Parts: sequence; structure tokens; C-alpha cells
Amino acid sequence: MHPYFHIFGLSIPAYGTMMALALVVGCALAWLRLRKLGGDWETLLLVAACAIGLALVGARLLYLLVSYDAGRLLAELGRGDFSFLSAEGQVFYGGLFGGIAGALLGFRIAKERRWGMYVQAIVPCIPLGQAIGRVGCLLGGCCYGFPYEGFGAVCLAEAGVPGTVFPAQLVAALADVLLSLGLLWYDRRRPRAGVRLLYLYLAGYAVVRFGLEFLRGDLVRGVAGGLSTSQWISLGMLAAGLGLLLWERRKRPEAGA
Amino acid sequence: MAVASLVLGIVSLVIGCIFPYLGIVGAVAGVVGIVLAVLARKKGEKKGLATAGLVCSIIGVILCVVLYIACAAAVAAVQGAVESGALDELTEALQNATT
Repeated sequence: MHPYFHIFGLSIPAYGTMMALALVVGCALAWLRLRKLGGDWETLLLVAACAIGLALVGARLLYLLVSYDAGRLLAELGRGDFSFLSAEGQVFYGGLFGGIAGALLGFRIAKERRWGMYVQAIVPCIPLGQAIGRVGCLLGGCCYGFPYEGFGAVCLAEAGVPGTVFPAQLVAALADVLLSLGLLWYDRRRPRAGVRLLYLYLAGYAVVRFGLEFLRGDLVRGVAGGLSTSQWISLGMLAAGLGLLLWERRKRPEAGA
Repeated sequence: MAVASLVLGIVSLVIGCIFPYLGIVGAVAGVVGIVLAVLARKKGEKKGLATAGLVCSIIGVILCVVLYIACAAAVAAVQGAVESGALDELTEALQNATT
């Protein structure tokens, strides 16, 4: 665990730095892909900004929903207390859904109709950004695994975690890289995949996340019916992804598998 | 729009530097600044100001993300450690080690 980078006497939060790096690298790679497809960087920047903005809001909203009591939140709002805005914490799925909504809004604002092309350029870069973010999780001491003392066990005493734990963050990062490579491979085989890549990402990440949840050991795991909140969301996302793939295949039978 | 993007970019930078508890507000302000700057550039409106607004907004968003976004689980892990008494055990162990 290494929560801060010490540069020129400044202590810079490692997790935030890796998150920012993930955004910058993701956008840069998306631009490199988009150039080959004929898109323009200003539209990409606008869409990315809208997606990132609503992703931050969505991630925070979902965190508040799972962490705060609704009555308490309403009471705070009623008193004019907005301190919940400064509460630290977000949930990835809230960010994902917010990001998708933000991207759609961005295409609307930019009056860009070729959104299939932009989606094709952007989607394989998302899991790569997630992988960088997961390294940030390891540095920051969050999203850790179950208690474990074997090879690769990590000590997160600075985060208040007793003993050593399984490096679930690194497994998640590796899974995200493999998902990105899988999407890039499919893109090479089907150059006109367009928005189908998004459906594949939704289904693929749902499977990855469902499995990874079994490796997690951090305490904020809302559980219902034996599955965590994220696993339930993953099941829904998998159903949505597969449903969209089937719908798209029926709409364009000549596109093949 | 170019002027508005510059103002929002500066607001985002200021919030990022001075008001840490409003990090998400700063990030959203920066995002709106980026959107307005791009739209102004596409329309050819005051390109210099729009570019300045774009740069300030991008830096503001990155600053807010770097300094003030934290993982929900990290915060919850610390909270859980406090509630379970694990942090007390760690403190006691450290005190014993230093005496």
C-alpha cells in the first residue's frame, strides 16, 4: 500500500492520481483509434467530458444510496446541510450508468449522429482505464480481497485492515486488461462492429465483476440472498448486454455473429 | 460561451486548490467548462478565450479528481475497522511496541 506519491515535497493522493491517469490514458487511446475511423477530437472531448461528469455524479449518487439512510439524507437536505457532497466515496456501477447517460447527452449536444463510430473507438479503452484505476485501489488500500497469507498477499495496515489479504485489485486489473484485449480482437475481426462493442463490454464486464466479487473481502458489501449488491447488478447487466446483442443481431441478420 | 467556459475553468481550478470538500462540484464545473469551450471553438467564437477556457477546465477537472476522489471501499474499510475495534487493537499494539 502506498497512499501518497511524494513529489517535490508534495504529498499527492495515489488513488486520485491513478484515476486521473486512467481518464487521460483512456481518452488518448480513444483518440488514436478514432483518428483511423474519421472522427474529430473536439467531439470526442465533449462526449468524454459529459460522460466523465455524469459518471462522477452517478458514482457518488449510488454510493449515497447504498451508504446513507434515505431519511437521514432528506433530513440533512431539509436543514440545508449539504455536507454529504464532501463525503468521500463512489460506486463503479453508478459511474458506468452515469457515464453511458453522459455520453448520450454529449452526442446530443454535439449533434453527432455517427455515435456508433465513437462508441467503437471508446469502448475497448474503458476496461484499460479500469485496470489503471485498480492499481490505484491497491495503492490506496481499497477494494481488497479476503484474508489470505499465501503468495502475493498484501498488507493494508495503513487502511486499518488487519493481517494480510488477497490482492483482488491486481486480479481485477488483469481481468480488465484481458477484457480490453478481447474487445480489441473482436474489433479487428469485425471492423464494423460499432455499438455492438458496447453490448459486448456490458456482458463481459458483468461476468468479470460477478466472479471478482467472490474474491472481495472489504466490509462495505451489501448482501441480499447470498449475493452482493454488485453481483445482483452484474446479473442485470449481463441480461441487458445479452438482450441487446440478440436484439441487434435480429435487426441486422446479414452482420453475422 | 467562450467567456463562460473560462470562468467555469477558473472556478474549477479554485475549488480544486482551495475548497477540497467541494471536489465533485469543481469537477462538474470543469466538465461544463469543457463542453462550453468545445462548442465555442466549433462555432469559431473567440477561439483564444475558448482554448484558454478549455485548458483551465481540463486542468481543473484533473486537479479535482486527483485530490478529492476516494474509493468508497477505502472509507468504508476504515469505518469498518473503527467499528470492529481493529483500529483500537492496532493502536494498542503500536503503543506496546513503542513503550
